[in-house]
Amino acid sequence: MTMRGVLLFWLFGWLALQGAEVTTELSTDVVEAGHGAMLTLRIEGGDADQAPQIPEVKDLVVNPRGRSQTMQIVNGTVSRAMVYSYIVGAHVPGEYDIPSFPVRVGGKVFQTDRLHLKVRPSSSGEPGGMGDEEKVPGEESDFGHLTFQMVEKDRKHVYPGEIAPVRIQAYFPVGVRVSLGGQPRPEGGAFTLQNLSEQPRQEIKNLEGKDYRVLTWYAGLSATKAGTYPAGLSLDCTVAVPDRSAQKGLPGFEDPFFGRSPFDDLFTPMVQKDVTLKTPEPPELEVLELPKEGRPENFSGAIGTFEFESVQIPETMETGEPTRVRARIKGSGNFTLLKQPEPLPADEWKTYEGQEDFSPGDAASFEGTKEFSFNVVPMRPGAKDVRLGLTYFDPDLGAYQVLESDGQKVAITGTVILDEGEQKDGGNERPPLPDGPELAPVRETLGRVGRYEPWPVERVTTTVVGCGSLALALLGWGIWKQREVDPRRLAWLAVRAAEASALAAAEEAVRRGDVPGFFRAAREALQCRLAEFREVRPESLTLTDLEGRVEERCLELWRTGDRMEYSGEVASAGSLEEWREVLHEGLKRLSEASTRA
Amino acid sequence: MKGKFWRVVVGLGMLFGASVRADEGFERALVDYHSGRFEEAAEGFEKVLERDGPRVSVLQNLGSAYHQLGQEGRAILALERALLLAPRDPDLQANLKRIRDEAAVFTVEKSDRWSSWRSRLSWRKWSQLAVLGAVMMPMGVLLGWAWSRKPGRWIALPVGVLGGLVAVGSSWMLRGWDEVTTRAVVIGGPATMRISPFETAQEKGSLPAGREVRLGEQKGDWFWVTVDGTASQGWLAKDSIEPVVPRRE
Repeated sequence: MTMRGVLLFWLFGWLALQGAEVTTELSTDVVEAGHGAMLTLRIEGGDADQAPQIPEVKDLVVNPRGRSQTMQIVNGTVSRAMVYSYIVGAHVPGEYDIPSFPVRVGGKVFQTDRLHLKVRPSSSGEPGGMGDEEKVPGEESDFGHLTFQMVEKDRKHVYPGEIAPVRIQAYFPVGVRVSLGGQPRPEGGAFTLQNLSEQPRQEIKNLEGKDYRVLTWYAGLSATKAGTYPAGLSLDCTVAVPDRSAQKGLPGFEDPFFGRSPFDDLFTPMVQKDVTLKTPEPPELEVLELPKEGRPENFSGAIGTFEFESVQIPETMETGEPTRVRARIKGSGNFTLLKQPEPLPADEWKTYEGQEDFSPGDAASFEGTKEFSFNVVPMRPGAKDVRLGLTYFDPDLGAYQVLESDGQKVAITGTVILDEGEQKDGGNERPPLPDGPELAPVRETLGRVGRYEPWPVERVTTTVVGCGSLALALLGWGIWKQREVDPRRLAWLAVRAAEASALAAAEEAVRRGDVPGFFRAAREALQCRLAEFREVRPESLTLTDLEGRVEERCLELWRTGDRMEYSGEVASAGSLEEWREVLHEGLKRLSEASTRA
Repeated sequence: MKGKFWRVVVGLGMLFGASVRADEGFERALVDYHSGRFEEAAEGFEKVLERDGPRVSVLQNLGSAYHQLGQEGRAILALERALLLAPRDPDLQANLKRIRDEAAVFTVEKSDRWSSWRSRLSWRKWSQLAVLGAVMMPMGVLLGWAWSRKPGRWIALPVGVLGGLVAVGSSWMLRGWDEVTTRAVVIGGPATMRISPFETAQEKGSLPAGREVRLGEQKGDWFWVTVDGTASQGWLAKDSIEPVVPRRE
């Protein structure tokens, strides 16, 4: 280094020290007992003459985490900072003050700010379950935590069959590799989860300085029996964690506070571990019995709050004629057990089961709209004010409710229709109503012995396939037999045979030089080919039938044959090879013309 | 020839005797029922079932007797079995609905058009219809050819085609039978579901009497069951449930 360089170095160092600054900062003000916060001591524009000493505070554990240097060059200006890191924490909950302490930089003493750290008890012993979701979840496990909240937070009890929407959240520390072994499930048999969202929503949340990967499901919690039961959930998952048994630790990097060096996680092999997350201390939930008093006869188990959104009833009807009615019901509750409404008064109508379509309004299928479309048959004529009605249990009111739609004026024509019971008993007395308060009466006649099972399904299938195959075979055989005796087909075959015979004779005539024989056979072959497609007798065809279908040379062949046949003229035998070509060309043309036709 | 004749006579006699015994047992159980001796009535109906096979009347009455005894699980089972024989019987449907309502056992029922069609006939009748349709197919073809020169051929061939449609449609209906054989009802509730097929295994929950479950794998005296419409599943002791379609041991 030259003298000039040394001077510049000292000049920059002196200038830097003039702007030196010391700051301290805690990553969080609140930690749980046994956990630490990061304390950073930052020295801008210089370095401490000796390692800073954080004063001792009773029960406060301070663990140095090393020193690092940062350098920035902005518009040619160099700024340098030294950062000393410490982990501070305590095993004893309480309020801790870290007093100001001196830091000597370049011979100059700087005082740090006072810091305050609150150490609260570990949440592993704290109740969870329906707690505030934004609190740091309890660290009862290093791997994660499970909570759930009722969407309706003021609900203190539920009824069997009711669906109470819940939000289930699993917290996993960022960095822990997790593989879910299933979906959240209720503990014990008092509750079931319905309409659990298949894929949880994932998000990263920072709670009290710690990052968590949070999985959120929505579902409906349904009680199966009355009583007071803990509403707990569990979730099976597999986590990848460092194998502590294989952990050796690097000399010089032991961490007296947390018991391991910062490099352990880098070098420790990972092992998979199956864990089951459970809601800690699940809250007791009271399940009330549905009241028997006042239970409507047609109560289907629907629990919630519902209202008619729209009703479509035709304005005119005829007794005995099925008429389509539509109704849309919106609300919240266990829509699965919400059955189609019935026209009122019920004894004036016959109702048939129709179709229903549910459109969920939320992830847990708790709110939504259900559309019913079904047939009703009016039994009594007259001008009616028709309403649709249904019953449900309102859990907020704790009472059964009868819901009726607005009335609709309907003109019903026709005559009074008696139902089967009225017809049998002359209309004096209705038969025992199957939906009445009592069971249908016992049967007094023995009846026939039946069988639960169908005939063995495999044998039935074999019989159907066998008989079907037999029917097809019989059908095919019959068609084949009929084809064999078909006169048109027989005539066609005869013409084909005659054509083949004529062609063979023509070939033989060419070979022997028999001119008359060739022309006779050639004309016969042309007649047969033409007759084959026109489905007439070959003898009935003349030169006129051939005209326009073949070339002139072929017509000449026919004429020559005619002349020889009728006048006895004999052409020279030397041209027979050429005539044979003409014959085959003519036959080909006839086939093509017939195909086109 | 003579021996065959006597065998037929003896067979008919036994049939008649069994019928008389069934009648007597049924009448006696009815008297017990009307006299309020429901336990004896249920026992009597069970005996008639065991001896002669299932009848709608006996199963319905058995369901009513168990209901009077407060054994809702067995009552629901008897009515479910009766509905296999007469799926559209209004008395059976009403009784089953009422008992389920009282036991607070709600089920998720299929109400699609397919199920509605299927429930028009019993399983046995669907299989009979399938075979009848199957036989109609070749018969129609044969008659069509036999009457090829008569006007009857225009009836015979459509009969064959109709038979084919009936056979295929009915066979299609039978596809759901395997599912029926996995249905079971909790008869003695609440039945405890466990995570493993052992008496000492951890409890997973309990199911009330009358709750319908779907049977899975069997391990010894335990069945893996799932509950339709819920996420509940686990092992149930064999003696706490009864398949809707009785299994031959």
